[in-house]
Amino acid sequence: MQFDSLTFVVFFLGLLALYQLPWSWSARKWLLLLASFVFYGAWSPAFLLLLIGSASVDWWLSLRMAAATAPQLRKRWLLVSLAANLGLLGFFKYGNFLNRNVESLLAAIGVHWQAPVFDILLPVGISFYTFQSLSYCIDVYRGQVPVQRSLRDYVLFVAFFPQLVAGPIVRYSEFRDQLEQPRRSSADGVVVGLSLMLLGLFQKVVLADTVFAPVADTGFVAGAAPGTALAWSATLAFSGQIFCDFAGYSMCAIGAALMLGFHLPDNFRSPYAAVGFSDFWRRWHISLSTWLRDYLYVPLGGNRGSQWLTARNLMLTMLLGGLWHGAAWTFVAWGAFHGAWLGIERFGRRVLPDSTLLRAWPMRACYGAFTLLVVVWAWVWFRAPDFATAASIHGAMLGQQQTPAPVLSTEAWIALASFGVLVLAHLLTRSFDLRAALGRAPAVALGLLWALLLAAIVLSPGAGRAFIYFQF
Amino acid sequence: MRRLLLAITIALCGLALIAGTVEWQWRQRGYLPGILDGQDLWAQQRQRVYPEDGQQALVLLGASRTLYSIDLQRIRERLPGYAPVMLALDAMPAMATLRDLSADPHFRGVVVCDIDGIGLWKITWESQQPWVDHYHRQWTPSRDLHRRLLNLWQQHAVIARSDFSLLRSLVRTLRSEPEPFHPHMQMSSAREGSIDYQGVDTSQHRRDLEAHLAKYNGKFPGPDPAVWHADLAEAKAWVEKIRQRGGSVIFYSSPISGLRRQVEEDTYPRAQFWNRLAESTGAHTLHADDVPALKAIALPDESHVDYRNKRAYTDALIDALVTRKLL
Repeated sequence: MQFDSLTFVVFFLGLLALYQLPWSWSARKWLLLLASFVFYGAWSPAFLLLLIGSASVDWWLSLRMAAATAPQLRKRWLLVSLAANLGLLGFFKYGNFLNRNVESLLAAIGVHWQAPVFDILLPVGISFYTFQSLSYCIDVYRGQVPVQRSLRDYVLFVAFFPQLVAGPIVRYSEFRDQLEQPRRSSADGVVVGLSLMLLGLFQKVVLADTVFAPVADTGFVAGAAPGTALAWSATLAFSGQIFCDFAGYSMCAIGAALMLGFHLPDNFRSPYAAVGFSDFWRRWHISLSTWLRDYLYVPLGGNRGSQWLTARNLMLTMLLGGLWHGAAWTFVAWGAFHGAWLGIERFGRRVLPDSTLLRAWPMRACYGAFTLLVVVWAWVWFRAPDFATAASIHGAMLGQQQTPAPVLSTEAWIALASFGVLVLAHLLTRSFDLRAALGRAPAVALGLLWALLLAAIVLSPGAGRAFIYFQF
Repeated sequence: MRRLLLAITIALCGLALIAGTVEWQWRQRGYLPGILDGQDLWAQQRQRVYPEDGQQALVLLGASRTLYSIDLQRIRERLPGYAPVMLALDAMPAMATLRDLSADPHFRGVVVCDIDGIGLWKITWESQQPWVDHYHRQWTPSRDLHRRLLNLWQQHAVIARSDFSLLRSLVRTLRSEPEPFHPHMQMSSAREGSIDYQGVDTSQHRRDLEAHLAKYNGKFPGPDPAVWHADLAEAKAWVEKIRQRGGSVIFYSSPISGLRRQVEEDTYPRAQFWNRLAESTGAHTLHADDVPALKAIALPDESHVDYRNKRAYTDALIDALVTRKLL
């Protein structure tokens, strides 16, 4: 079930009505769990069983971990959990990718083996819920969180429908108290939550699907040789699409949770206004970047070793972060490119003197613009269906295509203008607390804002595209 | 709570004012609401091929000629034992859907597959496969509910059409383009299409076909009849599977006229292709040329029926099928 479907409107209104009934907290948790199952099962009942099975296994393993006193035994249970989660992810997401690569590798050394192609559907949200469940097991192993003895509460933590299929990836430490303490919908929560949901839907339906996606699609066609203007317009449009699609989903998720009395962490903070690459990753998909930091980068050694080891750890983290997004080498290239810039930035900070000149606003503005340029450049690998198309688009962006420069369509100009407004909005809201501002807004202003957002959504009927991050 | 209720009231009033004004403005210009076809609407019909209450599904496959020419209500009236299901798709031959129905162990219906020479040529068989895949991989009860609500919205609101979206309106204004065409085609939620040819320049279709034909020096390249028939051995197995489950398949060549007919006869001479189809596929066949009532139907653009003639056309087709004991 998608947030931008009419089914969700019916589902959520029904749930909100039932949630207000004077039931015990335990009964309302059962209600939320059932609603989460309906939400997820609407895609595939079979994959709902997979989700329940996966969460139940982790819950049981965490109990074994907590019961074990010997460190070796605790470690063994953790390894089983790692194997189960990563095995699940590997089978559904990377099985065919692995087979194709083994086939190519063998062919390179003269061994001809035809890899079987499995007709496997990727369970929606699997990358998100396995990471969420995995973080809990690791935290229990580390003794950072107490074990959850209620299977219902644990499955609700994993399957809580607002964040289930595309994040934010919630940590158990952030959710535990919310499971223990009874939650209620409050008028203030509904005000802010509804505002966030409408803002999220506006980003998804109006900006991502209607304004940006059609322009991006015209440039990213396998085997096409776009001119410079088309390559730039398609890439900038995709930069707008990916943000509005994903941040729109996160905003809807946070808003829906808030209307039920739950607080989910922010996932985006004006990322296109980032100054530098580490700043970008503190603002983009925050729940994934902090996950990768805490459960991959730091265990690899983080920045505790030499410069080279730190660079290696950064690169490995970003390579795996890239691969997390999709089973294709183009995603790995995207991660590697970001990893390289993070390494260069780190090196630069070490060798350049910390002068006031570097901290002056013109220098920061230049570096911010450069960061945006590099981030936009990297999106080409993320969106292109293969390296040849990515190379063709990068070449065109550098003016290397010999095709005549096409006149940009009106739709492309609108997309470019919208991207400009989006970047400006990020600059203006770099340190802005949206939730607090919405919480303070007067009723008339809120009503007018909601009316405009709703009208824009209703007046943007379209193809009803799936959220991009569902495929991850 | 007061703040919330006030905000909601203002929002709903504002929405009604803005959307209502836009809706009113388009209606004033003569535009009417209508259902928009798509993969979800097709899948919604695809799930209806298992009727209960003792009825048998009558699945209508084909392309635009069937989509826009059949009167589903007339079938319901005249053939109460059958539940008509429209799965034809504009400009796409139907073999992929026929294959899918044959592979579906629960399908026991009758298939009337409107198809021509190129539609039976193997190179076009995959045309409808994306729709079949969508049904099997994406279609869920949740999408069904969404589509039902969307059907209601599209039936009642002009602004549900993407032609009237904010973006399209902005683009038209910036380009100083005229307002959208008044559509001469309509679709129902059961996927029954209608074309109103009054005021439509039908000679454009002929000019398009002539221009297309000119690229091939006046004769489209066609397949070797032997290869064409040999490839249909695969379809013979599909037909047999449906027959074993109590259903049947009827390949139907719908009426065409003028240049379109000449092109079909040149590329797929009936003696070499259609007349041996029953033998190659094991299916029943019906050719419009053999049914005077079908041949007599007016075809404004040489292959489609005006909506005013849909009932007569459907009657003629039902008569032909019943007379030949195919239904």
